[in-house]
Amino acid sequence: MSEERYKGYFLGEVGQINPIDKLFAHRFESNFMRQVLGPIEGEKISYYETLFRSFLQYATDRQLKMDWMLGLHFIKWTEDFNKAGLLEQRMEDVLLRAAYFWMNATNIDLDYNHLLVTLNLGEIHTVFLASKSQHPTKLPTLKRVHLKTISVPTGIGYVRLINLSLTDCEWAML
Amino acid sequence: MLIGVNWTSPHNYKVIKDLAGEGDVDFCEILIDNFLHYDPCDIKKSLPTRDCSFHIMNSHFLEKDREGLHALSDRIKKCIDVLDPLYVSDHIGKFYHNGRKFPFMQEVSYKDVVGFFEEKAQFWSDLLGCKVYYENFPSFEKQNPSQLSFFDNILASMGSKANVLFDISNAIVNQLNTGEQASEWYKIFKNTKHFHVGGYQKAGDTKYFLDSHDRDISSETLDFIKKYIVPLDTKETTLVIERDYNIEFNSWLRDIRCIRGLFRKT
Repeated sequence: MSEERYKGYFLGEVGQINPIDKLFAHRFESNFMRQVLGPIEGEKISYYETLFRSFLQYATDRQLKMDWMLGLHFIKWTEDFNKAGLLEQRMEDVLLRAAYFWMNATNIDLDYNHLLVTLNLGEIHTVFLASKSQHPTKLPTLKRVHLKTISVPTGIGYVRLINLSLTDCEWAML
Repeated sequence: MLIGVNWTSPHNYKVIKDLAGEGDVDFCEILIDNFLHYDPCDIKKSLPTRDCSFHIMNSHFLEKDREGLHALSDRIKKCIDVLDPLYVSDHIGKFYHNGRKFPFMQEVSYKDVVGFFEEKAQFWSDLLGCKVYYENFPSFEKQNPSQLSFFDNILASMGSKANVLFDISNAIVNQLNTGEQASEWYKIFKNTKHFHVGGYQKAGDTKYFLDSHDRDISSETLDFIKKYIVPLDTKETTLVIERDYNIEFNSWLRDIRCIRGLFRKT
């Protein structure tokens, strides 16, 4: 494996001559697109590939980490570049997938047990609470919640919690 | 041969418990990364099988700093002390490129890591307090030095600190992708007691195969087991039959019984 190969992993394009770059692109898309956007079938795939590649370039330029927050970055990108109207996916669904990814990848943010992700844009006010599994036989949980005691800033944000106490929350905004 | 299955999270707890209930599973291999936030005593009480082993996916021991490895090893060590696993295994992988995290592990460039691998692996083994078994990678392309010669060299020099967790189907995927014969690994895997096997598939319309862990074990893999692994069987030898996707009780059980049958015939 060369450095060019690793670079190709992020920037590979469908139809490239080098088949291994195509393989990387294939595998990255099948993971990334499903993680962020959910299953996409049939003819729509090529349309979303175009959107995806544009976003991938944005993520590459800004050195965004390919972790659970990528879905949140995707929402911000669609909003900032007026692409939200082009998407058939609801922003809430993308938010939900980001929270789902976090709560199932328990090696991420190992010391935190809960994650609140918020979307507060115009008419949309959504908060999801993702809680990691607390026992080897118990599944993690994901809920839509209403926050009564604290206000959520405008935009897309998240807060990680060790214990579920909403007092003194400091919201991280994207 | 002790036959195991991979316990990756609470999501597949029930199917593993059901498989264990059939009496054909001897132990579960815990993907310990996903269990480190639990009380180790809770894991022990919840074990769906009598014995267990540990598989580490995200130690990043080649890339993480010493402080980070200390913190991670403290947690794993507590689990080792309570659960007394049959073995502890890890991956020789690359997780970052220019500071950016890959969505999942990539194969390292062996010529790039050969100079510092031993020092890092020695440190990691010392922190965990045990020998670490490293899984071979389902390569996409040939390298120089080859993965096989890399393993050959490091195992020769690290004797008590490292060995191979030989993934049979990974070696076959490697063979399909690179032309390097899986049987050439014999000189490596004849000296280990721990094995993996899983399903693989073609990657879309490419010429490559992926270790997909989503389907039945291939006939090519079964033939390889019959010819090379069965003769190496001892009471301490382990083989984990992995499923990560399309987890379905009946097909997983069919694979387990099929492979167990190969060893009973000897």
